[in-house]
Amino acid sequence: MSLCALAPAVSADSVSALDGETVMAVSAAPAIPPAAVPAWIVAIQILLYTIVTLICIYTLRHYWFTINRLFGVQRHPYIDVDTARWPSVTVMIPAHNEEAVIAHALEALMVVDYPHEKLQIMPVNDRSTDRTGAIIDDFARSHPGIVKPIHRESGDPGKAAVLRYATPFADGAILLVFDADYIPGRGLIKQLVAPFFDPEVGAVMGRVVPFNVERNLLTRLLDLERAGGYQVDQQARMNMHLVPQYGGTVGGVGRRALQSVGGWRQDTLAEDTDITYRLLLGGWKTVYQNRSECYEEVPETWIARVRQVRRWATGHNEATARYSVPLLRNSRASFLEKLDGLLLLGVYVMPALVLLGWILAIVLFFAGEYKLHGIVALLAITAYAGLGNFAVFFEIAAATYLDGSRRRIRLLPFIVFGFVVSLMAINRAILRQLFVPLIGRVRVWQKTQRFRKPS
Amino acid sequence: MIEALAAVGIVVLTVLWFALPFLPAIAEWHYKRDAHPLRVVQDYEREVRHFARRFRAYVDTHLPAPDDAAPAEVWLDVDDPSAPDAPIEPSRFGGAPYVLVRDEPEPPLTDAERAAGYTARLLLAEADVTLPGRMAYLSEVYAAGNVRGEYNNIYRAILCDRDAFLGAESMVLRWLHAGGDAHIGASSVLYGRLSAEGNMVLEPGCRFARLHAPHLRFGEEPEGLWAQARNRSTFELAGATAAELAARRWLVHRSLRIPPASRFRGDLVVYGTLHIGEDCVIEGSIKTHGDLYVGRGTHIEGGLVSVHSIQLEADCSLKGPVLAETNIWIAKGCRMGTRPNPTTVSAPYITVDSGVVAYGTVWARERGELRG
Repeated sequence: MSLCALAPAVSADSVSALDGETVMAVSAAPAIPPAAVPAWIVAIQILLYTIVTLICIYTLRHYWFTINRLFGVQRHPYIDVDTARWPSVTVMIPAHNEEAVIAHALEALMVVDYPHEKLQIMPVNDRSTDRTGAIIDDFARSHPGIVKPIHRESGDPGKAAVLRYATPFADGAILLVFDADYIPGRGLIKQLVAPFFDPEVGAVMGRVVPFNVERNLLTRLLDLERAGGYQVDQQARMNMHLVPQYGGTVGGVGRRALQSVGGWRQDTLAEDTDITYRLLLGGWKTVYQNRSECYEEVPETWIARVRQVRRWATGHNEATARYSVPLLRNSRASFLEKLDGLLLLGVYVMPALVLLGWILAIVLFFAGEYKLHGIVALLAITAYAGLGNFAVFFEIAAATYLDGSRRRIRLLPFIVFGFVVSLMAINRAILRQLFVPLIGRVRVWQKTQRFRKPS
Repeated sequence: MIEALAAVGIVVLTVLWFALPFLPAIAEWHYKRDAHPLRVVQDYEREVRHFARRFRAYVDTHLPAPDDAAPAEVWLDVDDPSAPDAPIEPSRFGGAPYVLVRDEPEPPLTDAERAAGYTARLLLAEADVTLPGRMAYLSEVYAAGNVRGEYNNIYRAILCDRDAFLGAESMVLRWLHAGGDAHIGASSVLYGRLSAEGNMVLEPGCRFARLHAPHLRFGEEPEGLWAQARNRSTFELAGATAAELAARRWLVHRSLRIPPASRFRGDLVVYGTLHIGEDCVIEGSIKTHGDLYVGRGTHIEGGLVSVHSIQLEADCSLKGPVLAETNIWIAKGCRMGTRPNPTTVSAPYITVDSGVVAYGTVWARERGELRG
C-alpha cells in the first residue's frame, strides 16, 4: 500500500466563529484521486523504513542488554574454580616494536598464581626494529624454562599472522593471548583458564580496563566506552547465553577447539571476531569473565583512535561478509545465538546505514514527501542509540553505576563527539573496503600506537 | 522588534538548555575528580587465604615479642564504666583494643564482657587458647597454637597456626584459617571463607559457604567405594561427525540416557538433560544445558558442568571440577578430587550428605548444607 493511501479521508477545511464559540466544520473531502507517487520515491521510502527498523532493533538490543545487566541474574559460572588439576597454558604476547611496554607485561606474568610447570610465556617478537627482541631475550635468559621467545623475522603484518606463525611452537593446551601493553593481575591466568574445564567452551574473554585514563578527554571517553562495552554488553550476552565476543587479548582459546576450526586465519584484520564466529559455527562457545580484569593502554590521540577504529571496522566487516550466511544456516547455534550473532556482525555496518538513513530522509524531504516527520523523529532518537559496538549512553551510565565510580558519568555528554568521530572513521573504512579492491591498492595493517615511555 | 527579541531569546534558551549537561561535564573534565583507572584486583582477593594472610601480616607486624613485659591485659575499653581505672596503652596493637593471652588457658575477659556475652577486643594467644562458650568474639582471634572454641560461640574471624576446634552450634561470620586441621561442631553456621592446611571435618547439620582444605570430610567417615565388579560396555553415539571424532567431543541436541555399567570415552555436551546410569565410567568431561543426574558408583575422569543442577548419587567419584548454576546434591560416599589432584565444587546451593569427601574447594555461593 502506498503511503499516500494513508492520507485522511476527511479534512478540516473551514473554521468559523459563531457567538464567541469556535466551531470546526468538517465536511466530506471531495473525491480527489491520489497523485501517483514516483517509483523511486517509494523505493527510497521502503529503504528508509528498513533502515529505521534496523536501527530500532539495535536500540532495543541495547536496552535489553542494559536492563538485563541491571536487573537480571548475573552468570559467573566459572569464577569460583580456584582449585583444580590445571591444564598446561601458553601465554602468547605478540610484540611489534613494543620496547616501551613489553617488559611490564612480562614482569607481571612472572608473578602470576599458576603452577609454573604448567605455564609457558611466549613473547613473539614480530619483525621489531626497536629493542623489543633484546628485552625478550633478556627475560628468557633470566627465566629459563618458562619464557620461550619467538622471533619472527619476516611475513605478513598483523596479529592474526603472528598467532598463526607462533601457535605451532606453543606447548599449552590453552593458548592465552595478551597484548604487549597489558598488565595481568596475579589471579588472572587461573580465572581465564577455568572456563576450559567446560567441554563446550572454545574461547574465553576477560575485561579490559584502561589505565591511562587521566591523560586527556579522549582517554576518559574511551574509558567510559570500554566500561559500557564490557560491563554491560559482554556480560549481558554472557547472562543470556548469547554470543560474547572474543576480543583478541585478555583471553584465549582452547588448542583443541582452535584446531577443530582450522586454526588462526591469516587473511583477516580482526582475528578475534573471526575466531569467535568460526568457533560458534563449530559448536564451541565463547565465554566472558567480567571479573577477569586487565589494564590496557588506550589511544591518547584522535589520529591513533581513528586508525584503530578503521582497522576494527574493516576486519569486522570482513567477518560479516564471511559468516552471516553460514551462521543463518548453522544447525548448532540456537535461534537467539543466531539473532545476536547477526546483530553483532552488523555493528560496523550500522554507522553507514545511519548516515544513509539521514541522506534518504533529506532526499525525501526535498522531493516533497512531508509525511515522514514520524520516521525522521524515530531516526533522530534511535540513531544515537544504534551505533552498535560503541556502547550507547545509557549503557555507559549503567556501567558507571555498576563499577561504583560515578563522578565520571558527568562526562557523558562528550560521548557524542566520540560517536561522531567513530561514525566518520567507520564510514571511511567501509568506503575504502568497497572501493580499494577496485583500484587494486594493497591493504596495510596499522598497529595501534603506544604512548607509554620505556622504563 | 519584540518578535526579533523573542526569536533571539528562544534561540538562546534552546542553546542554554542543550548546553546545560555540558556544564558538569566541563567541570569534571577540568577538575578530574574521577579520572583514576578503575580498580583492578591485582593482589588476588578471591584467593581463599587472602584475609588470613592480611591478618597474619598485621599480627606479625604488631604482636609484642614473647619477652616483652607487657601485662596480659593491656587495653580496656575506656568507655567501659566497669573498668574506669584500666591501664591504657594506645597503639600497642595498631591502635586496636586487644587481649594478649600468654600462659592462661582462657583469655582474661572482663566481668563486663562475660556479663554482656561478647567482647569487641582482638584476642591474641601466644600458644593454645580455649574460648569460653556462649560468647560473641566480635574481633579477630589469633592463636600461635590451637584454638578450641566451646559451645555456641560467634566468631568474626579466626587465625591459628595449628588446629581449630569449634564447638557445636558455632558461627563464623567472616573467615577461619587453620595452619593444621579444622574441626567444626555440629549445626554450626559458617559464613565466608574457611580454610585449613590439613584436614577439615564438618559435623552434620552445618551450613557453609566456602570451604578449602587438602582433605574435606562432611560428617562421618565414608565407607569404601561401592563398585560392581563387572565388565562395562562401551557407549557410543551414532552419527558422529568428523569434527567430533577429531576433537573427541560429542554434541547431543536432545536429552540423553547412558545405560548402567557403560563406559564412555571423550567429552560430551548435551543440550537437554543427561541421565547417567549407575556404575558407569566417563573418561572425559560433561556439560549439560539441562539437569544432570549421575547414577550410583559412577566414576568421571573429567569435570561436570551444568547450566542447571547436578545430582550425584551415592559413591560417585570425580576428578575434575563440578560446577552447576543452580544446585548440586551430593549423596553419601561420593569423593570429589583426589589428594594429589584437588578440585572445586561450586554452585549457588550445595547439599551434601554425611559421609562425603572432597579434596580442594567446596564453594556454595548462596548456601551450603550438610544434612545430618
